[in-house]
Amino acid sequence: MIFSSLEFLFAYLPITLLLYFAVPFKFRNLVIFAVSMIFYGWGEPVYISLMVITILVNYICGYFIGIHRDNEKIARIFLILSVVVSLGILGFFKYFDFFMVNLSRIPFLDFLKPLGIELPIGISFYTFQIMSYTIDVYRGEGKMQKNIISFGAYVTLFPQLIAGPIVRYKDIDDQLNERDHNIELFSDGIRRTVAGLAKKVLLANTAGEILASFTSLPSDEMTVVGSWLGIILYTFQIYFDFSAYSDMAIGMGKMMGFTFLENFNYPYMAKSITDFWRRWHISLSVWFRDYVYIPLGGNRKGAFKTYRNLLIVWFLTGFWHGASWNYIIWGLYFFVILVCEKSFLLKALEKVPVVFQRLYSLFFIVIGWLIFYFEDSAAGFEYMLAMFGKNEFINAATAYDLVRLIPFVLISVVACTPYPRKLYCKLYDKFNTVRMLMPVPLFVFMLLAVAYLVDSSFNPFLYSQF
Amino acid sequence: MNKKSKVDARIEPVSRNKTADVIVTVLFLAVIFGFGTAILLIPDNEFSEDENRYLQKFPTYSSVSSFAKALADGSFGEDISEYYSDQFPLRNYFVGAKAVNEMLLLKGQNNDVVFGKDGYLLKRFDHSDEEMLFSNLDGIDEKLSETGLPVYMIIPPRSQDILHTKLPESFPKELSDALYERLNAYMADADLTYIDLRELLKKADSDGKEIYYKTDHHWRSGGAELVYRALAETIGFEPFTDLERKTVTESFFGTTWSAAGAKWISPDKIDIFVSDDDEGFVTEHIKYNDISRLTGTDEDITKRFEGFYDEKALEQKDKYSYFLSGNPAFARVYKDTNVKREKVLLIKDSFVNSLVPFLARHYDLDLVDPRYYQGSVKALTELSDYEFILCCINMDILTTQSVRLF
Repeated sequence: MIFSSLEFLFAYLPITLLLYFAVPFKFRNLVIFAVSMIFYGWGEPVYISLMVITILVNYICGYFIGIHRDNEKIARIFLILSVVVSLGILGFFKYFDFFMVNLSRIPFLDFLKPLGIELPIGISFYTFQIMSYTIDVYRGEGKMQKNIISFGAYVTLFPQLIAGPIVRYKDIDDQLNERDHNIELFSDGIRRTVAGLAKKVLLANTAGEILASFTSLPSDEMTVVGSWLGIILYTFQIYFDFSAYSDMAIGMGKMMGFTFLENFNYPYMAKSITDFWRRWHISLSVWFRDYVYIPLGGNRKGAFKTYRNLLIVWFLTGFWHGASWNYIIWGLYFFVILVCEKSFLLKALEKVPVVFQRLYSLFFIVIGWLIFYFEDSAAGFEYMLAMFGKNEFINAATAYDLVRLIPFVLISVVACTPYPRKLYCKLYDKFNTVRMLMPVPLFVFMLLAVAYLVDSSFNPFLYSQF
Repeated sequence: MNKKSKVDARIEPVSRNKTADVIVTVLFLAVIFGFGTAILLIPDNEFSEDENRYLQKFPTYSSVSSFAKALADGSFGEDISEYYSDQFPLRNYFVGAKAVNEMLLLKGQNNDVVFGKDGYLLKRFDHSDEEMLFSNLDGIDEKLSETGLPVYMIIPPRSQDILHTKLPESFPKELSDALYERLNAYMADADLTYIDLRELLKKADSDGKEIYYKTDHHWRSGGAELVYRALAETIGFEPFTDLERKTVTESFFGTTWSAAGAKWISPDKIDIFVSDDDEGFVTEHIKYNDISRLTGTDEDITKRFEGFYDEKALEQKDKYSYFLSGNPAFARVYKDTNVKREKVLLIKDSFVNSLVPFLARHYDLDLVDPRYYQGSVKALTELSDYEFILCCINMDILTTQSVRLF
């Protein structure tokens, strides 16, 4: 099920909230576990079994790690067992076919065939989330969760099950056992959720629809301006889409008393690529930092090991995003830039006015999205050629679209900055009228988002019947 | 190493207002519970006139096991999803709200329908599939020349191709030029006689004539009349000059209006052209989509009415069905008279429907819709004596669908 759908907003959510607040506190995690399983299994019930197995294995390993805290050897065995099982499942379902296809290119291995395995939804997110449990318990940074229902609730928590943020166990273990429910938290949660919904439906989905008309043109019809416009729209879409999902996740978590860490911090305001990765999908970078980079020694074992560790982390970051070469290239692309920045570029950038630092960052971010967008490298290459002048600069159709999209692009640009929110907070703190009137625009945006959702299902059979 | 991630605190207002918090909560819950229960309590709509399709009803199952199966394979989830979309309360208002918002954002279009001048709504076509077009034309040319009869072809253009006075100022009007250049070059080599309509209609538009509907992709009867005269000139019959114009409805909302959701656009008038001699005409829809199955009795006929028009269509939303009463696979329009009349075969699309009255005054018409007719065209020509074949299939269909004659 997706958050930005009518059945989620008007069936699933009301029923969930009703159940959640109707039961006494001690049953609330059970409600979460149950409704989250339904949420997860809605489209693909088959993968519920996979989820259950992962939960059981990790719960049991976590239990044994917990009771053998004093015996490092035994604790370690269970840690390794849980990590191997989790990664094994993830590896099989996500990467098996990729390996088969690529290995089969080696002459004597050409009998290998992919199995056509479907990717269970959310597996990249919940696997990383569940691994943080056994690792945090092993390290003594999180308390073992004796209650399997609470543990199940942690893993399946529907707000962040499918697309994050990746919630580390230690950040949430107390909240599983005890959390507040009051109108301040609940209304804050609503505000966050509605903001995310509006961002997703009004900005991300719109950008996505428009960009399709630019990226699906035959390659010789792509102009310089048109292709740049297309990839810039994608830059907007992917940020609005992903951060909106996190907004809704954080918002709905808050409605149930959970506080998750922020996952995005105005990434397109970054002053360098290093800065960008402290603002984009923060929970993923933090996960890799805590569970891969630092255990490998981080930057404390000399220059060679530092670069080796960075290479591993960025390879994995790219690869995590998808079982396809372009994602790996994307990760390594950032590795190269980050190494340059670390060695000399950052110091050079500091001497340059902020606006140029941002332009520099945006340029490389956008090129990064070009690599990310095209799984088909040949198509991506053609597109890049168009961007850099292979065809004409602009044509009549591109010019027409460019002009009519100006308001939308301007709104999108502003929405990438913290200024609207800063202004809002200033006014909110200053004027009581603003505080009182604030529900109105919230309500309007919510209904407008609903309007767009309803319209997207509106499907006139134009010509075959008429 | 610092465990906590270095994330800037989220920018939050310092003050709180409990009343606002309560209002937000109440509004939100009212919306989700309000619409959530309304959709279940309000009886389901069966048919959407605006979309011309049947709507999804709440999924029901005949047994527990079939329900379990539907749960397992995800079809229950899909049906619920469609149900919530199709039966959402105030659906048409929401569709209208989106269109208003798109207009306010100066996007100039909604759902690929351009907001033109003078209240015109024109469907936008960016990239036309020329491969499809020429493959269709190849097939048509081949099959029709096999019949040995004179073949004429017209291709009604899309609004975007000709209504240059109605498109927004900066709209790339040359978008279709290259396409039509290639089309004309191709047709010059074809066996059939091609009559170009684009120049004719473009000129009429720039002369200020209203030739296509504002809210629909079809031509008006006025536009059809121009085409009628062009056909008369090429084919060689004498067109009527004393036809009288009559308005039959002033509240026609067509296809582009439905797609655009632009509720503020005013409706179209539908006009017809009448002659004093318009008596004795009959329109018949034939049951089979293959004429070789005809029995020759009244069993074959699924619909029959006098004249050219279906008066009942004016009471529903799809008023264009007034012409010919829809798009049957095979239809006949003839004059019930003892005087011998010439017969003509029309390979048609929906544009022909409003052209029928003009042509029927000269010839008895057999109408074949290649989207639905499965029988052989040659066999048809062997059954009846046709003077010529007129093929009329519009540019939209030719560039988006595979059109096969047998």
